[in-house]
Amino acid sequence: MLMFDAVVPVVAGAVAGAAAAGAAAAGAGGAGTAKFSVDPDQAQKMIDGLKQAVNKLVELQKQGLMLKQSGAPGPDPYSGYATLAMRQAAGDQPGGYVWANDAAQKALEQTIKNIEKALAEYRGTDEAAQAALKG
Amino acid sequence: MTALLTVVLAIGVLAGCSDKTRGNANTTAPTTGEQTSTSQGSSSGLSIAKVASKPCDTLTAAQVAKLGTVAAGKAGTNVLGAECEWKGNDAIKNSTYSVTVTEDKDVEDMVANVKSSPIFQDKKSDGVRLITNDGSDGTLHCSTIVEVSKTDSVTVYVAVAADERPAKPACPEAEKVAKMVIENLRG
Repeated sequence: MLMFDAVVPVVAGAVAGAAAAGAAAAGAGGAGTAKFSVDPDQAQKMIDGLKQAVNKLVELQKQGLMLKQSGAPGPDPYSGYATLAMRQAAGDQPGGYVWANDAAQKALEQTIKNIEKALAEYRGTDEAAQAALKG
Repeated sequence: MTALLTVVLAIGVLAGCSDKTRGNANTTAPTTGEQTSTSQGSSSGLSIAKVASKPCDTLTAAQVAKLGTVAAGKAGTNVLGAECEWKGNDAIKNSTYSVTVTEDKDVEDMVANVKSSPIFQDKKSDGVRLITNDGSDGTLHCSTIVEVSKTDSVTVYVAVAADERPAKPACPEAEKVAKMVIENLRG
């Protein structure tokens, strides 16, 4: 089995508790990691799936900007207030959507790299073992 | 004596008035000047007529090749109008680019909606107004609005892939692509 660290974008104490249950060690920048294992034959499938997830986040982030640029849903004052509230919820401040999407993207990217590294190491060890047996 | 005082006061008041009037005239003048320069900016010499229904024609094949390893342009629509997207082949290694053509939507309104973004630059390049902005710190993504006229615009959005981030800051990249698009909107 391949062991790798999955990065979890932890927000605050409440979520940190949940992450700790998954045997996580708190990392820098509020992010945590959890140890996972995957069958080497399935690792590539997992990487592909996570990359698709990154693509989805990229797409959603883009749609978010387009909505922001397009502005208030209507000229009435209520729509205007709704836009202000949406802007806050959609913004880059901690807890806002742009921020959460960025954090999730970075966490997935690091997780993909960790699996790729584990897979490369596994293949390297495997080849070395085969060479040793042949020798 | 009283009459003289009244006259002096009256002159003072009049002088004050005329000063004020002049002051007002002075403060109004630059505003008018700015408006004139903005309206000059909107006559950018560009036209989106050719690409309004064919957003993938905003970039030539040679220009797309410069973007890196991306899939063929995929046309679609979003809230701002007709869009073409060139998706990076690998989510970690290759950046994704998107160009949206917007017709009949006030550019100034759109600029006002993104004005509060952490990254916001409003400048001119070769007589064309470019508004670059990002809702975050400009490392993962950034976008540039090209003002074609008061109500026509093109929005370039770039999402920089993890491996390309050290070499491709998102906002200069979005402006670079915006300038490529401008080349195709002239004439």
